Amino acid sequence: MEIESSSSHWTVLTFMVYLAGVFAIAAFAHRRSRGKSFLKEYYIGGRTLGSWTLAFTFAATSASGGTYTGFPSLIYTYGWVLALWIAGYMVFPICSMGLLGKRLNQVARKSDAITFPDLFRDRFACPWLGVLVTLFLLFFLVVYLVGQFKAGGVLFQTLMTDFPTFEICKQLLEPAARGLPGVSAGYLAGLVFFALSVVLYTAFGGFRAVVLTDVMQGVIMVVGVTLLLPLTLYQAYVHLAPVGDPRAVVAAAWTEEERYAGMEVRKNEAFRFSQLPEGLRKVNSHLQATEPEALVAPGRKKSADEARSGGFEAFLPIGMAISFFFIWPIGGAGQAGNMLRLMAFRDNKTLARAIFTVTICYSLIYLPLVVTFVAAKTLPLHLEQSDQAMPAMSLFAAPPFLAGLLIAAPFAAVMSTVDSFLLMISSALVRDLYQHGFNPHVSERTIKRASLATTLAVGFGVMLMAADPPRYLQDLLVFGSSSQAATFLIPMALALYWPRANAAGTACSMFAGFLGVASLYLVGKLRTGELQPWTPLDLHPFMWGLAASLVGGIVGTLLTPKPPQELVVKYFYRRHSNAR
Amino acid sequence: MDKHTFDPSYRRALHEAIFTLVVFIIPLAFTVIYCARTGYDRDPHTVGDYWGIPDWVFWGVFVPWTVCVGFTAWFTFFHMVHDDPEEVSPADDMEAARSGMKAEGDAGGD
Repeated sequence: MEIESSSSHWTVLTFMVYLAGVFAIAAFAHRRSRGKSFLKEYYIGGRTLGSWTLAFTFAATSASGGTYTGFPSLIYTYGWVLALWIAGYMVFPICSMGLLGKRLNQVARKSDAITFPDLFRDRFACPWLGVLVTLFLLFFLVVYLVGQFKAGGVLFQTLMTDFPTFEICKQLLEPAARGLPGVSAGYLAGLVFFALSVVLYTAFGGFRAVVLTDVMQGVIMVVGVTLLLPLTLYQAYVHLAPVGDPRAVVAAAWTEEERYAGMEVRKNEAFRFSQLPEGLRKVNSHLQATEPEALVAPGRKKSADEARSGGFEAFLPIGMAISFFFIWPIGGAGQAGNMLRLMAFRDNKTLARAIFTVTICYSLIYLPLVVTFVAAKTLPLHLEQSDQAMPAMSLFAAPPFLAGLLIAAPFAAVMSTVDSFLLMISSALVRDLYQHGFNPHVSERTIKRASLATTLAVGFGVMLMAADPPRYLQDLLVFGSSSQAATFLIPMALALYWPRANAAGTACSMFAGFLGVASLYLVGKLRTGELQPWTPLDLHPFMWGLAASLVGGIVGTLLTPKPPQELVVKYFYRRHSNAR
Repeated sequence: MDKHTFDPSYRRALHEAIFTLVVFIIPLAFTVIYCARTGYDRDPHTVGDYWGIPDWVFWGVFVPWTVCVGFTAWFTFFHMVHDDPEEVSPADDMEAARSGMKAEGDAGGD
């Protein structure tokens, strides 16, 4: 299927309506922030997030471009084994929000922390620890943002091709593209459109705009995927031969006409809900005949290297299945963007409702995605690359207006991740490095200007980096998110729950976690020449990094002096007047 | 003299975090063990289905996922204690802490 030429004006119009909604929300957030403390309002929304906003900003920020491009692509390639790969999401909300959320919010309120590094700095009354956290954070966020900008650029390019304004922009960027081997003018134009839209509304509206747009984006993601499932199953019912049809066992000899024999008859049948599970049974029957390994685990790895060597490499060995069950919920708890949101909610009832709401949202996103894209494997999408599975399936199964909404879902996912990370980088530079490091008495007006300018500058700086993305970008993304979680999760848990924790032990834990992951990537690079980690016992480097961080944190803490008593009392004890 | 006890909100948060960790282990063990036994290295032609979902995916992922949704509802609406931020003790007076702390247990940690 020619994705680029298939995007109708209806689809573009729907997307434009979505974009207009995003800007309207940013304007509303900007107006609402007037007369309030700029720092608290811009970076943490005044710490007043309600249940719905917390739930959707959490869900939307966690769901990145990978959810709607990479994940469908993997399902389309490997089949049902991806249900096990993603199974950790069944406990993602309760773990990633419940493990640290309540306590994180308590400590953030006690210390009046506004940013993620603030929390470490104030909890241990240790400025250098704040700087260390800021530097780690900047590294992880920039790596991740470059990847998200690239995804945003590709999505814009897919949607806007043949649109007059976009074509003009493409022509203007043609000379720049010629100077960048392997980069097309269309991609550059998509990148510019994406960067302009997301950077402007983020800089303009701050944290409140980000979370409010996240709500809208979260709703679009859930509704889009939920609608795509029955549409796809109906298409499978219509397109595929009945289960038990003798032609199912001679799939190799099928012609296109034979494969879809009887389609017209089924198209004219009245719709019944029983057609949907029947469609899925047809999918499995079709897969049994054409690609049986897609029905079972561990899946056969499909890579250029394997094709060259002719060997068999499992996609999801048991060790990796265990690792991914850890990575999603436990690694999610260690993402700084998620922790920042847990600093911002109003009260614990809000947290409880949000955990349940996110559980429902993820159930409505991930399980339908698995079923939808297993079914997509059997439909005539004719993809050039599996990354196109989501837009191709939307255009194939849905009417144009709905396809626009479905195509907006990955945009929403990318945008909601990018806007949050842009603000975190801005706060790290302005609040954590400039204000705390150089000018503690800076005026609020200067902070406001610096924050706006920094958000804009970082956004456009990352856009320039994404114009010529590094070769191993996808691997860098995986490295960035897994090392971030291995670096921050255990130190944060120790800071929140262990009164004996101190700044030195926390720093040890961070370095041990980071080096645990980085060293396995380094060994893998030396062994293979690629940015592929070494995975002893088939376990992902995140697992080893997490273990190293735990050991490093405990040993580092016990070998260094106890923390000052007043800090321990402040964060762990309640004082009772007991005058006698 | 002031007496210090562990902040109840800290204790509750700690208990809930430990409970959450235990809760995480159960579906992890069930899903991985069940799928390893029934989904790995299996002849694809022996795979049955429930409403079109392969049997090992249905029992190994979809059913525990549904149970987890039910459990999360119970945990969030009936188990979690909704102590308001006001109940969380405000920033303690550092001077008072320095002068006369006699904690229930060792405030230095361990």
